[in-house]
Amino acid sequence: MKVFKLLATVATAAAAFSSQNAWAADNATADATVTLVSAINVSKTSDLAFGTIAVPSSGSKTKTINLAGNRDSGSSAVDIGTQTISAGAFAVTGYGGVAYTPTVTVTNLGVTGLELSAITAQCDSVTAESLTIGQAKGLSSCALAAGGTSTVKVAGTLTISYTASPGTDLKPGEIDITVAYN
Amino acid sequence: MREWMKWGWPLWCMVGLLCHSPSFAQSQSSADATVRLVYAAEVSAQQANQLLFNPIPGVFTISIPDPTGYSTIDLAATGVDPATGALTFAASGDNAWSLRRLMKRLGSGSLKGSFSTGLTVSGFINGRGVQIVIRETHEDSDGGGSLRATITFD
Repeated sequence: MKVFKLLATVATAAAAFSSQNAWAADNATADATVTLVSAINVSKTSDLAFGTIAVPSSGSKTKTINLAGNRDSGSSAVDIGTQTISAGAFAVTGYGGVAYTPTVTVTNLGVTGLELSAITAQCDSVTAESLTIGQAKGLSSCALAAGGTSTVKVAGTLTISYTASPGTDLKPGEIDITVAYN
Repeated sequence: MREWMKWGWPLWCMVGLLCHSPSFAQSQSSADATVRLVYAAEVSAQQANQLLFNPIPGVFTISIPDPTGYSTIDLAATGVDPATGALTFAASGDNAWSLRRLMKRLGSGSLKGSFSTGLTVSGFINGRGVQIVIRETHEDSDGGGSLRATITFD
């Protein structure tokens, strides 16, 4: 009987202790959150195409393709036939409304009698910027539209010397572009 | 991407938060500058002066350089366009053939079958730019035909 009473006392004390501590505990939860945006991507939509030009019989001639993809009125080279001409263009896609920087490099590839110069580049309707041949240039104030798209265009002048040799699919220069979120 | 995120990615990797190269936030592409070059056509200085300053209908011999030397094409101008002052080449028979050959040699391309109205090709006459524009075309049922073109200078 003594043992029974002792056990009963211990049980009662334990219950009381347990009851007293229940009101003093609490808990809460927190989430690990993240916002994932689509990766930025750039792809070519057109080359800087100067069309078909007659080799000058002497000296040199120039042909300028402007950012709208048209022959500039100051060009002196003579176009041949129905031509496909265009400004260099790239489509950029990514997260809408975010600023990004396109870094553009234009290089001459050393084709005899052909030389690029007076390069300009522009993202969407932002003011065009001048580039130096062979030097990377980061265009400023570029941003993806709400839909996540943007366009970068590249224009320039091609000088054709009488030393150039006729040929098709000549590639006097190359345009490289890297885009990155700011 | 912020600079500290871009260059601090090894740290992100160490703490297990974002073990990823910064390349996920950039992309590259390239385009070419392209051009097609063709030989220029030439006529004699006397004929060039006639074309430029005193357009009188007559036969023009046009020389075209090619890899083996020069070939020539005779082209008969038959009138003067009253609107532009340019010589008009109303052609049939040999003259039509000459125009076709000239325009092919100038690299106009796409000349299978008949000429199309408005087709423009260009070249040089003694260093001066010249354009030939097809104004009218007509094909006879016997396979022959005629066309009218104008030559203008830049």
